[in-house]
Amino acid sequence: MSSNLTLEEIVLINNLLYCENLGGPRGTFLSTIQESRTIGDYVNGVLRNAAQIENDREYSTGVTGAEYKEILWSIRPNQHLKNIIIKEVHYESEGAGGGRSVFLFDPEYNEAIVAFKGTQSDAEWIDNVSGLYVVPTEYQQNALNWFGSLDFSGCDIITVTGHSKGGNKSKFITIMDDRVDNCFSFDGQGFSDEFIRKYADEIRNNQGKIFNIIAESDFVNILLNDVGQKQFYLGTNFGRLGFAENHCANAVLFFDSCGSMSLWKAKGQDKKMMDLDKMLNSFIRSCRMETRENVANLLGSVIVNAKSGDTDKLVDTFADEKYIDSAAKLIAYILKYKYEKPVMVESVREILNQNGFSTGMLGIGDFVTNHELLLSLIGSHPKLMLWILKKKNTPENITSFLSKHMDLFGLLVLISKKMRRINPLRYNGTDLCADDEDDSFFINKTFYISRRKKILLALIVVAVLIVIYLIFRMKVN
Amino acid sequence: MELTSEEKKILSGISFDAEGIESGELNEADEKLLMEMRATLAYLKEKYPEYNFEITGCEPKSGTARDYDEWYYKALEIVRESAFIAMAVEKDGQIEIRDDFYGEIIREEVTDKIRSILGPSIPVVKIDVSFWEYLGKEYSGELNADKVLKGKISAGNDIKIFLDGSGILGTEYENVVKKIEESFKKAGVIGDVYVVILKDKDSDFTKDRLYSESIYI
Repeated sequence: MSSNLTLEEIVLINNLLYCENLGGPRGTFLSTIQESRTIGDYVNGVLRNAAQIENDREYSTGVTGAEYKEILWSIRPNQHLKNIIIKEVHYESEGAGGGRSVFLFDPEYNEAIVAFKGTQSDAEWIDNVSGLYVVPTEYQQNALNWFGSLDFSGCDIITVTGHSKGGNKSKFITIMDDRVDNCFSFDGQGFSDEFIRKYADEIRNNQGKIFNIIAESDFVNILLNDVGQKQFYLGTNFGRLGFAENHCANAVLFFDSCGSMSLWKAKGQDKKMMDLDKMLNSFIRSCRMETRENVANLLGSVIVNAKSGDTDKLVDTFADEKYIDSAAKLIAYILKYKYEKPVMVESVREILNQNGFSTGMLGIGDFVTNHELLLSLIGSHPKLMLWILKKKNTPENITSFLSKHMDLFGLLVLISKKMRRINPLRYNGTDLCADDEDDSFFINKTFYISRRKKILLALIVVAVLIVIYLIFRMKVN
Repeated sequence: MELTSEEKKILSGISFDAEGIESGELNEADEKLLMEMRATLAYLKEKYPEYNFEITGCEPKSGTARDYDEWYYKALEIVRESAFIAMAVEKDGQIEIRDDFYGEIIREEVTDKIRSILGPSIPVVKIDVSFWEYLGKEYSGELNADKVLKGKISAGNDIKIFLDGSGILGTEYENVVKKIEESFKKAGVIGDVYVVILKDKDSDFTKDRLYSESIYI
């Protein structure tokens, strides 16, 4: 890496991108009005109005005024960072993205730094998941177009960075534009198998320039296949949003008693995220390309509702007519996966628990698994089903949850049917590399027999043995 | 509902319900966004009838710490890489919209006014004027440079002045900034002022800086 920025400085720049209305409109970093100022001018201007910044108010998702003040105070003694000039702020003007980005210039080293903000709204997930079925996405292309329009004359080094979707955009630009010298993607998601195959040559040429900074429990970077070197960092954030704060840009910042900021390397990725990453990859690979858009929209809706901790909305999404088939497939996949990788399902359970989801919903997985046959036979009669469950002394939290969400039975029947056809080990869940051989891309060719077929086979074997035994007895007699 | 292809494109970028948008059978949230998008466009057309606008994107408030949706738009008559932004907030069932486009309308007048306040003794290379506040339709007719510069209309003035350092001889740069501050105070101008002294009038605004300072009046 030829950048003269430290990793701490990169992470601080990415945090600045999210500063909005700190103490008033002048507290917005990504405003065209900030152009020509230095980062130091911005920081001093905001801290001049520090009294107007409310400590407990969230100024961007999950980050409070007190936390932003801490970030800005830690920049104050850093003269190198403060001297960096805000050359151009860009509001995306084509497509529907509404993304913001900035072209910074470090006069000390003639380094151009192009940074992309990840949008914070729920709508971000529409684009985050569109990478499952579109290569490249409209927003990636918009970012590349803007990058292509920038004047880098006189710049000795070109560095790109970004957080979340911004991290993905920075990786995309690095892959596609050979002029980039360094890329620091911060919690950015990866690329689809189709993307990796389509741009394998470009990836091979440029992946050495990409460095992924990842919070150990971040849940966005696990989407799709990552490109470049990865380093995980300890996370600090468990505020109002609980688990969801693992994706906040300030999650990896540690401050000492003097206000200095540092990053701390983690031993590796959080095991839960690692498991989830593999399961998601293998699930996505199991979906045909023509159904991916629906699956992607379902996943996006699920993540948005999971982030907000709203159980009812999550159930509504699963039971929604337009998603029901994809939802059934996803849940059936997870339940079948449980047979082979029980730890992974425990990881999902733990994540949902941390986000305050109803335990009744968490128990539904076990319920479907344990009553697969019953569901497929009489699942379309919810009242009868509930009556039987009560008679069978099914835990109260499950029956009351199902009573509240009767519309779920249709989904449960579909899940039980799909479970019979799914082989969760068919597709490999590890990230795909551009250097991989073509046939290692997809299928883990293990021979697989479903539990139902195993029972059927066992019954046939027993029946055959009985018949043989009877024939043998008849012959003996 | 009948949607134009542009409306479909914008909504598809902010909603998961691609099928509903394509068929025109919008869910409640998307219908609200569509109404807001149309209201924003109508507001802009009414407030600035000489311009033609196009909504290009949106960052909805859902999932953010904001209480307003941001609508990105461009004016077909103005060549600019970045979009403009309008803010829409729902209050008592009504959509309230504020925009940043008024800055385009009064920028030239304000710049000329500042240039005349500074006078010929200050070697100005360029003046950039921007406004921090988003203003609603209550200010559609009465905007003028004097009211804005003197803060009678609170627009959040931001004035950047780039000076030719080769024309500043025999005095400290701090004194030049002080002189600018005094001129503005005397003229009743309020706002944030950022002064950058460049090597000479042909200098690169980013790379060839000798001095910079912020003053708040």
